[in-house]
Amino acid sequence: MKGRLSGLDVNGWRDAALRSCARDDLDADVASDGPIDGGRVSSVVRIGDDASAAWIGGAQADLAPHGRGGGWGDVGAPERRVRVAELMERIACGATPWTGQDALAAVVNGLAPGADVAVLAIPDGAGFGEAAQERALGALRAAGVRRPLLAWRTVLAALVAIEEGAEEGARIGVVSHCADGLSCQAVVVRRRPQDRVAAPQRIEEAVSTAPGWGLGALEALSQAAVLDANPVDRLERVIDLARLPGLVMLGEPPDAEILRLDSGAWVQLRPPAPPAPPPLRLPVDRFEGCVSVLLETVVGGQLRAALVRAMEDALDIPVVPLPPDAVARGARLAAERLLRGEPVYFDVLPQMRTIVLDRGEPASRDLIETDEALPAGRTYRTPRPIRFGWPAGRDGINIYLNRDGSGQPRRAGVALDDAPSSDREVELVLEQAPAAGPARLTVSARDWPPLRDHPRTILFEQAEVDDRSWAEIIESLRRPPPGYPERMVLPCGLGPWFGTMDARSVRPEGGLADLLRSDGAGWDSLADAIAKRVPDRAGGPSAYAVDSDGKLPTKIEADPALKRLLAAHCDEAASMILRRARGQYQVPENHRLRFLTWTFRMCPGEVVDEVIAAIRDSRHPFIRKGAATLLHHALGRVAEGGRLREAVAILRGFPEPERWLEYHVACAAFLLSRNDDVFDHLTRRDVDRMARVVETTLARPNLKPRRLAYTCTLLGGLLRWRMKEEFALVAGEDPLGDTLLAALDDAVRRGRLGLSPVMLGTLEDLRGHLEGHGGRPDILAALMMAD
Amino acid sequence: MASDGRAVLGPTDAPTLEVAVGEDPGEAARIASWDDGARATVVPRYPRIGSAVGPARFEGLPRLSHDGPSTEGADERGRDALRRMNTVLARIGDLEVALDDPARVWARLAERWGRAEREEEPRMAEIVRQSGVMAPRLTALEPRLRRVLRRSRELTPLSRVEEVDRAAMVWLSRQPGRTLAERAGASQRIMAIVRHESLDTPENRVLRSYATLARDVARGWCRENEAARGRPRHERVDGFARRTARLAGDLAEAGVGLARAGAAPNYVLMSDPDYRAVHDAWERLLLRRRALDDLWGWQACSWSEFTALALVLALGEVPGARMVAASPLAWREEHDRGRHVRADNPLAAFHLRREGLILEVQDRPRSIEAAQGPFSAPIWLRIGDLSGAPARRRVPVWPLHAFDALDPAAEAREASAAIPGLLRGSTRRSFAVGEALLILPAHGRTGAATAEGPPSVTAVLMGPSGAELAAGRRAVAAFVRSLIRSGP
Repeated sequence: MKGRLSGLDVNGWRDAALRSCARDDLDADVASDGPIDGGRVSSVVRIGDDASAAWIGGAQADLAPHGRGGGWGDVGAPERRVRVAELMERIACGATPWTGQDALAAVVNGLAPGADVAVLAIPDGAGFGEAAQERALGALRAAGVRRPLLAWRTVLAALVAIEEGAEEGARIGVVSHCADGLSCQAVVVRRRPQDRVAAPQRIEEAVSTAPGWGLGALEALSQAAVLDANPVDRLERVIDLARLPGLVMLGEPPDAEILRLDSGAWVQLRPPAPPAPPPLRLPVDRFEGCVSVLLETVVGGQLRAALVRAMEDALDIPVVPLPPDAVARGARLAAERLLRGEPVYFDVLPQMRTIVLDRGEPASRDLIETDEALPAGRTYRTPRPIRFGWPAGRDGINIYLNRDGSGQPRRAGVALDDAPSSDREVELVLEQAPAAGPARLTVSARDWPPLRDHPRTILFEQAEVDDRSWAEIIESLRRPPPGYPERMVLPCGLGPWFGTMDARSVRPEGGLADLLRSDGAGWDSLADAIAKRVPDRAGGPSAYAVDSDGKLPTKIEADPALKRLLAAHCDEAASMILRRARGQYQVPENHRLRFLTWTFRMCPGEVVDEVIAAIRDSRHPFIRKGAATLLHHALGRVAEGGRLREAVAILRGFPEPERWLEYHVACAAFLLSRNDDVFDHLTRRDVDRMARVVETTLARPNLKPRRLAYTCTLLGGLLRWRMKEEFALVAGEDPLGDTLLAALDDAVRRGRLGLSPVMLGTLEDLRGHLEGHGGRPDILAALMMAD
Repeated sequence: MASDGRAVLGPTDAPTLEVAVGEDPGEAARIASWDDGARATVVPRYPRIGSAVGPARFEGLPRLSHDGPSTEGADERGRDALRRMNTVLARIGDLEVALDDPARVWARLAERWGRAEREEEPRMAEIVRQSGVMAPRLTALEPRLRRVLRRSRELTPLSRVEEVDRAAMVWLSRQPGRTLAERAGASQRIMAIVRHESLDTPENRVLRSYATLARDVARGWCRENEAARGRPRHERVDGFARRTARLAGDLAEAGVGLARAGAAPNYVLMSDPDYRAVHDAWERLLLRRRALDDLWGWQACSWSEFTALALVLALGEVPGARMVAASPLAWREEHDRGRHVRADNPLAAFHLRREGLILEVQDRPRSIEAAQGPFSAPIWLRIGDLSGAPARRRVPVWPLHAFDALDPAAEAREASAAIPGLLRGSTRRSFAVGEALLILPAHGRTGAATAEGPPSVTAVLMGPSGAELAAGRRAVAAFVRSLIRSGP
């Protein structure tokens, strides 16, 4: 056995340490065995100034002149002294950031200098939470302890009883006297088959009771008694620095305490009789089935006797008062066991749950799989990691956590810089050791580099509180929000401008570029040319001259002459159209309008306004045979931004769903599939109405492929309503989704023979979107191109 | 006592200099500064070579004489002075051990000093520690010293040839004859590679250097602690000295050279546990020797630190005394101008229950009243009572460090005569000086002398161990008792 062992009891009133020397050097001068008195009513003081400042704790600090008032000179400044009791209170519930680590480390060093293995007793109960545990461990490490362990006071008291021969399987009650009351706990003596020795098992957190009996409250009573007994002038100013009240409470009052007033003069305090004990009530049911109840208290003298009596009156089980150094003794036993690899105590970790989707259904999963109590000092790690999917296209997910005994569930966000392009499997693992700080939850992935290389750690305490109950959260997560088709942009290319390149890279004449350059080209041929979908090279994908966002191919963009030519034509067309709208110019055709609206969003706003006006007004100069189709298609192509509100109003003015014509469907399909902001102006009623259109159109016999394509595009556009309503139109969730799915299936079945295989595949994807398991996001473009 | 910068200081002077703030005192330790912040008292550093010109001129001091055979027959006074300094440092070092039990620091210190008075245990030192830790290491190393095979070419009998290299072939080709046997000539030997074992490796050089140094240090320690001959600790160190001497001799004979200090350790020295321990121990001894050189200069400060501890112990032994305050003590691994203990003031305060007095010991107070300045005293006692009035009575304590013996009666007389003059200069002062204490190095004598004043001055002879320590502590305790008899 190597290393120095220490068991530490740091409570602030009677600090003690018990050590074992196991050093292997021959330096006989260092005797480091036996008990170390950490002082009574202990403090920690700061010596030196600025850079050389250092905290000193333990018995030396008790006697130090530091922080004992101005009478002692510079060293008497109050900030140079902190009561250990106050430090322990701050560690438990104090504000962040925690600044007491050095001071607490000094207390540990004052008690157990040079300890390699140290066990520190901590008060049992919710008051000493995970944050406090982490701070205490940090202080132990800062004091140079290589193997620190925290153990509950109650458990250490029970450990002493076990060492003295408590029977296996017995249930032992423990009452531990803490700063804010009495901690009541019951532990079971347990031995695992593989162990040589039995250890106490903690079943749940201790119940804190009798705040009037708290050490802090008793000291306050005692202080009042000291003031009564010593009528000295100006005593109130230094009474807080006196140790006498605490010593009276401990039952070891000196015959006098010498205090120094600010003037430098000395006064002598005489100890009073101990204060009358407050009444006591104990949670008797906590000790049901216990063979005995151990009492662990630092209080001595009459108060101790009164406490034992009160407990004996309240309980019909034998009460066993332990000596004041019992906890330190238990801590040293624990340190010895730790070094030998024997169990110190068993503890249960509070269960932690998270929510995962199991075949689409949200379900609560336990991160701690065992009910078994865990040995102290051993870290538990979820044996089988919880696996779940990270959806494609999401750069962040929420992980819901719920822990027993910690109130509301929490929500922790995990964010990444880049969203994955496909669904990824990630793992969640919990790691925690009993009474050794917070649980660490790690999100990682096996084969997804961002998370595989840099797993993310979540701390329960730092996660956001969710006001809903666990069941409500699960309910709300029934499904992950389904995806929806992305906004469609019709592509542009060089084909329409220069004609399709053949295998020898030769282009025919007569493209849009040639027409623009030639003076005599008529508007009808220009309009035909710009509206044509032409592949750039033979067999390649076809494209339009201008894309549906009004952008030109890069090659055209880089050709100023051609751009200028196009702009000149557009200007000319626009001015003529506007003059015609005002009745200043009359022609019996709409070629210029057709030309201009095929430039999509390059079309000037005034022209768009005239298109809207023409749809509304049947006596508009544009109206002639066949103009309705042009105008509705044109509106679908050119409406954008603020004019979408008008466009939506026009949609609402369309006839009954059953009576929509092909151009109505096309107009709606274009508007919904090529814009995102159009949904700002739509309502669910509009969506329902258009869904009805889709349904009735799909039900028509002899549905032409083009109309089928427009209808399906409209359906895809409607799915984009999920931007506003996450679960809209999902079959099985939204009845409308079911209706549409049935209509689509019916149409496909009837038209199967007449549909191209490409179209059939595209419709299958659309079906996937309707069902909510996603499909290709660019389905809308595919639909337009499939036609 | 006090002296100005031009003074010539000899072995019977205890040098302190008064300097104005801003003036360069040379290498010196400040022991007090006035509360007006303009003046301070400093202790200059002793030279290692017996004479020097620094802030003051030193002449005729003993030279620092290191242990070991190389200085055999060197300055005997220097060796004595070093022994005294080491013992003083050992008494201060007792505090480090006492700090192991913070609740009983002073009690444990008293206990250990008591043992030193009876000379039960010779002083602890690094070499004592090493004699315990290193002996098994050396035992383990000796049979398995690292060797290397060095290749060389020699004329080798034909039957023993195992390997030839190019040069050997060239040699063979130049020999007359047609067959190998002819070329081998009458002696039937040819040039061939042979391998010889060698111990001269870097790690063995370190081992030899360590053994040599440890032998010197161990012998020096034994000589200093001659009185403890026969005690286990002495036996152990003595045995270690003999053993390291033998090892150093064996290694030298085997052709192992000496290592250069400060060279980077090689792989073996880093990774082999035994060699590594040897390297670490060697470095520690080297470091210790350097620290000793440094401490020599500051021994007056160590003496003052020792005196302050003695005073606190004496107060604690007054019947009815209870410690009401004591500064926390922190041990410095590296001394700071001769001082190993870091403390604030008061060092300790005692309540004497029978007399109703409170005594405080102030060691090198950071700032003092201007009227205290001329005293140049590093330690002050302050005496107050429980009447609620501030304490007026103060006692200066001068720990005089001198290399040669001083006469206590003469020193006490001189101080008693000087004090009224020191007080006269100040118009405003809040204290009275009725007594003073001088603590002089004993140099083998014991006893004390008091010059009845007023003011009355007691000079006590004090040594760091044995009867000198016992008598010195008794005399200081007697002085303290005389103080408290005369009331606040």
